[in-house]
Amino acid sequence: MNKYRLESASAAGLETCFDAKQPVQARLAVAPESPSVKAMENKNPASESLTMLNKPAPAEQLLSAQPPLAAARPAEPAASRPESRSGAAAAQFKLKAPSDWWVKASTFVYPLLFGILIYVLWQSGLLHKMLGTDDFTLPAPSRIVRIMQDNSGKIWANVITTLQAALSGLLFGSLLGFLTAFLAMRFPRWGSGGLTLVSAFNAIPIIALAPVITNWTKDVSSDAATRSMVAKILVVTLVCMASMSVNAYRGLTELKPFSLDLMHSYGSGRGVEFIKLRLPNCVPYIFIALKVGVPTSVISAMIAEYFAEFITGVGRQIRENIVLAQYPTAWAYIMTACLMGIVLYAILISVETVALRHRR
Amino acid sequence: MIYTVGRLKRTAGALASGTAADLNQNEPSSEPTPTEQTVQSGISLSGVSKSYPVNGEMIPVLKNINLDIQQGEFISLVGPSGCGKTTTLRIIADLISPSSGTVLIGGQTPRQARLQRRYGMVFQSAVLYDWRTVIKNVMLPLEIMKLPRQEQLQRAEAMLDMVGLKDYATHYPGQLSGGMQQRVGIARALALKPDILLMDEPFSALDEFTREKLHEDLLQIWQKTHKTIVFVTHNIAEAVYLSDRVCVMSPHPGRISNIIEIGLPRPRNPQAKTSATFSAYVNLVRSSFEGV
Repeated sequence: MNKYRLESASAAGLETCFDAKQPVQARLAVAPESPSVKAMENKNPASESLTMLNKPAPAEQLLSAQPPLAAARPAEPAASRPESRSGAAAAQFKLKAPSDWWVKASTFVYPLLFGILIYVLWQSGLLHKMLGTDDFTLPAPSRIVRIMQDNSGKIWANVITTLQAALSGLLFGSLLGFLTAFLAMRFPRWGSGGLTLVSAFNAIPIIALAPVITNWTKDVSSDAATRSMVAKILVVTLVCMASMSVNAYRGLTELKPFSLDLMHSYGSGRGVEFIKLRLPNCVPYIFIALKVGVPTSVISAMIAEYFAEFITGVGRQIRENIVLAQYPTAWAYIMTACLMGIVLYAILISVETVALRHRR
Repeated sequence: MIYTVGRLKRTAGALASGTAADLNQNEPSSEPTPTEQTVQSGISLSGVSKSYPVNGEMIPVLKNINLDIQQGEFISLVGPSGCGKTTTLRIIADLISPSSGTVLIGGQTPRQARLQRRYGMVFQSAVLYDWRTVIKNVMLPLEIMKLPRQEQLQRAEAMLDMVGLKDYATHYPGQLSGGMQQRVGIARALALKPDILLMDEPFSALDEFTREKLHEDLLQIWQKTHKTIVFVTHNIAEAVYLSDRVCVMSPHPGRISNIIEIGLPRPRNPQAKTSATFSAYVNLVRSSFEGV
């Protein structure tokens, strides 16, 4: 980006110089008839030799009386001083505007068109014919939406439960993951071992983890709702920990060349180094981890609900309604689950856009 | 077109014949050597060596470096890759410690000098923190020094003014060109008000136009502030143009081959680069390298 801007700026500078040279050449062409130039040529080869390599000087000698050069000279510093980004960006925008606009819009338009197509097929019943299914197993979208409206109170209560498990699990998991990353950065020798261990947890399927943890936590509280919540949060915590620890470790240790030297040259301690350098450097990596963590937390919370004791939460409702063959209600909860994931992800992306708006 | 070529040939001839005369002409006007100055912020290296273990064997990177840098002097360390010029600079900066020998910075050890923030360092890349605005980047060392907020702002603004970037204070590094970024780096180093400026190939990543502009900026800053500048580069012309003395280093192991006093008059201007004296100094530096 920078390089390109610089090139274009200096090219612009050269062009101006080139234009200004036109009169020079014109003048040179008639030089033999011009006594003044001839005289100057003969006069001092020595002074010329000194300034020969210095481009502006001969031009000045030849053309000191000509105004176009005066116009050309200010262009030279401009060539060595790149113009500000906004100017260059504006020029590029002009050039690329239509295609740029379409590239941005198409990432939004194509999926939207696809969604509309699916909706039309689904609502009209064509999708059922294509999949060889019926209205009862796969109700039309309008019916699912109606069920969601009719049961909004109950669905909302379940959403809250699932969100509680997902978000607190995400919070604890992220904090623990960051702590692991910090320890791995601070004490590389045995910290990296901890990092490997945490990553190994990530390899355990949630489906295997959830029943085990439900079993472990059966004595935590006499209240089934509390026991279930603890189990769910534990599952989500373990699942979210890995991506945070690995990414945060990268953010804390993968620093730009010399940035640590810079800190050392100020004689700064580890604390200052962490606050001023490592932590801010880590922020984009934390968002990478959260982009994995947020959808995973919702999914793992719902899977944990499958195995939990207490019959609550969006995931559990999907299961219960399928078991009872209440497919339209099950579909309403599936739709709710999708919306939860999408909304949380959208919030995360918005926060990230604001938080990282100045970074490249 | 043809005209131009003919003219070039003629002037080239004139330059060749004028070389010796030019050298003689400029020799007497060279500056007096700064030997009688105090060594308050002078740097002295005596018998400095550095070796690294490679496959269980100690490979010497620097061998017996002896160098006295005067206060207010502009000295360049020049040499090919692997000659230890950056290592030497990092030893002065106390970013690494020598295997043997002693370094004194105005009578202090490099560590004391570092902790008292007596030097500002400029690196090959600008090393700006891209989550901070330009002025916040310049304020970084001042924040670490825990100066009052008002003084931080004042100093940072003054330094940005000095490098000609006052209007860019609230920009982010990503919005600046490479040359501008490096100027912010220089402003940040100056913000500490150090006696010494250590520069490690600061302009090597820049294009020729920007580099020449920054040469002028740097010389002006040096003239205004009278700092001791240790400048590492692999660009011979750059070293000759900027320095009072050029310290030529050769590799395997890294050692000083020659120290050349540059007698070009000060203040220097770009015209000096075209003089025969300049070329003669460049050739002298080039011929001082031993081996490759």
